[in-house]
Amino acid sequence: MELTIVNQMLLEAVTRLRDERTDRSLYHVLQGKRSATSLQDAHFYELEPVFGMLPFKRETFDRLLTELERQGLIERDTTLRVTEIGKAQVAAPFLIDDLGGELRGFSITLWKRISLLIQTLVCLEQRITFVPIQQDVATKEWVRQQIKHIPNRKQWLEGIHRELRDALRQLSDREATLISYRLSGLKTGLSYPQLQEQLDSDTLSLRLEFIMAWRKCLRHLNETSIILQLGSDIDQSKMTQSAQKTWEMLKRGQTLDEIAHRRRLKKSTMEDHLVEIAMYSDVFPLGQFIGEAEWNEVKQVVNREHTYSLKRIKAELTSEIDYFQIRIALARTRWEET
Amino acid sequence: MEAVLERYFKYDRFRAGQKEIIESVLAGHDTLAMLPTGGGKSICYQLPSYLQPEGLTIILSPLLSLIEDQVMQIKSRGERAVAKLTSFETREEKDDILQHLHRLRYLYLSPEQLAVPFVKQQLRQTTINLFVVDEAHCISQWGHEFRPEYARLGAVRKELGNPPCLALTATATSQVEQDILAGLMLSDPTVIRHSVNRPEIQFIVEQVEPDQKDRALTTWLTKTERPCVIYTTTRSEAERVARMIPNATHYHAGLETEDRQLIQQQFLHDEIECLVCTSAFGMGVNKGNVRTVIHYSMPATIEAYMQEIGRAGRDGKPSTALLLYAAGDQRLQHFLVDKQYAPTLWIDQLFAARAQNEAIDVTEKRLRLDGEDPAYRLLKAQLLDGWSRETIIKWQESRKKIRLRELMQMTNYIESTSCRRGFILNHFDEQRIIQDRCCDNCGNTTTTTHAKLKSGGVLDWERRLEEVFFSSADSV
Ligand SMILES: [Zn+2]
Repeated sequence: MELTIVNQMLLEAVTRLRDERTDRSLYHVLQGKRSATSLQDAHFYELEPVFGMLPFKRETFDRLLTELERQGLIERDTTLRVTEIGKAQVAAPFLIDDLGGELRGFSITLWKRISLLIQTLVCLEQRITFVPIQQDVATKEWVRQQIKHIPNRKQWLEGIHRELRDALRQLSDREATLISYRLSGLKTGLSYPQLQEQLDSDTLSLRLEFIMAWRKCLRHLNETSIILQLGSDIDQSKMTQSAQKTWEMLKRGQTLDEIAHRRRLKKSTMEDHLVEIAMYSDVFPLGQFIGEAEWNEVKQVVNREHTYSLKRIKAELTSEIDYFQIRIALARTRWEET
Repeated sequence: MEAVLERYFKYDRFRAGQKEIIESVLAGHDTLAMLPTGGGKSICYQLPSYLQPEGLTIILSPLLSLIEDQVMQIKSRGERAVAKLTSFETREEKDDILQHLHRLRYLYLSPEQLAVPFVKQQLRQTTINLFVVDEAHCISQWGHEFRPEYARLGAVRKELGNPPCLALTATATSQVEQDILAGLMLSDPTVIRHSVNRPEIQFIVEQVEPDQKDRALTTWLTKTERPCVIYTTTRSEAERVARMIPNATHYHAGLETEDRQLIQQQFLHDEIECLVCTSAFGMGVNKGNVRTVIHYSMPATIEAYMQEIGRAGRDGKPSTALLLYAAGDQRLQHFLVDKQYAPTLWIDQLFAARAQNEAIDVTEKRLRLDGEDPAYRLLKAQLLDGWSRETIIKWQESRKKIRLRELMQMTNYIESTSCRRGFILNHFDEQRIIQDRCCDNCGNTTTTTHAKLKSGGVLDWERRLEEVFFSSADSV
């Protein structure tokens, strides 16, 4: 069975959920919802690469899942699971691992910047009016600031053109086409529906192909290239800002109670922050929250039962370990694997 | 005045009607101006600001897309002192704008925002030079686009200390005109009415069998000039028709933002010849050389039709408005009319919940009502205003009757055997006009013989990349 790229990716994501999460959980991960649960799902179930990278509308998401269900590839009850037929359709390497969600939208932000900057400079140079192809305020503001620092526009454009051309030559024709035909300047980029006819695909899959091609293009650029320099300040941190603040205070030696009091945080919020820190920080004072023996027991249960379901783990444990401790332990197991 | 026009707007002369309106505004009169679509309405309220002492011009506009486009256009001509308050702005952005009103020249608002007490309070503390109501016909219950939020604008203007008002609309029958004057409480107003006639546009209607529409369209495309806009009623129809025509593409509100921008830009730069779209396209798209507007299906009202064909021939050169009609086209319009009003089931359910003292937000969740659905939003507003069940139902019935009457007028236009221009002018209480290149019923229309559709070329990324960056002269 030939699956579209978008369906293939969804199937891969469902496979990683190990029959332990609902369609809602998957939806929120694909949307990139920065809630404790979704961040945890992405981290535990290796869904970081798709985090925020498939931001479908709810109807689209439902339609796609229904399609997979009708093809007998997945089943939807209280949890989402992949069927035996579905399993036969997925094989390493997973496509989703090329999407780059772990960088929190870095490549997309960089694309928005570069594409609007090119369009703006080309049109200013040629004195033609244009409709800005990017509409979000942050990108527009960034471009406005940036053009002030480009003294020689002609030279800059030539440089960017050279960088892109050389990088695209390392890509397949299809990948290079997807990128050059989305750029606007003297000629205007094509919409996905327009490209869809020529590239024989569907618009959702094309968008994902584009992201993969663009990431590949970025990998073929020099560290010192103009394009990569323009993205050097993009925030790639996975931790939410609020958790980052808590982490800063902890590192300065303040106690949990002090922080909770000063920031007026509830206990549950503090716990969410700590789980985030445990997931994303390379160092973490694990011993403060869980004993050596308990930590080993959690690990054993995870390996034996092959699960990240908090409930199932809790049921298997003999010692008194609460859910917060289990979450912290799980967050750190990933660090041991790598 | 001409110097200001040249300096800020880069035009060397005013278009018909503009100067009269601006003079009335500058004299401080309340003004109601009717200018046809494409007549350059926005200059009428943007220009006076440069000739007045410091103060704010606030503009009420019913559609977010319209506001977005206007703000973008003002910024693109280099004016930075403009801002907008709509449901898109965050709390912080709104606060920031309201704290610094004195820095602004123009402020665009949706009527909902003007109803917010804090907004009103801040506006009261600043000098308002002009209170502009765009698409003023929305205030009239007789108009085809009645909006309940517009009904309160007259009272709000009073609260803001009665700043001079400029009400603008493209098309208004005399009934609607009376409603605007009364609703906005204009005192001793100057009424400037410019003819709705667009002499450069010829009118054609073709009646076909339902299964012959595609054929008729393809034939007409070989006889009419491009660029061309084809309006369809639904999104899926736009997609289907676009696939049928070479070098055409579709545009509707279901596209992603980036794709929407790309298509607007392609169309403005003449990179596509045919754009197939729903009524979502056109707001603020300023393209002078559209030669033909085709309606693949009948529009709901004469007013809407005039607005959409108004996108043709803005450069003043000969253009064509073609309407394809098949028996049964009304059915879809009937359905759309019904969908705009809440079904009786909802009304009953909501009143039952009210009787139980259930909070409206709870009811909304329980019944899974979509807060974005205009039909539901309207019902909710009426409910919160204390309307009774009977009043709501009666009101809905009368609204539907108006809509169906308007649809009937559109049908009459299609079936008319006398001059179509005359029919339209008569609809707006204007005198008939006799002219060349008038309409199919007058029998003096012109067609072209050499219209050939270009088809898209082969994809070649390396050449494309060059074409994006460099004009062909200095390409390597
Ligand atoms: Zn005629």
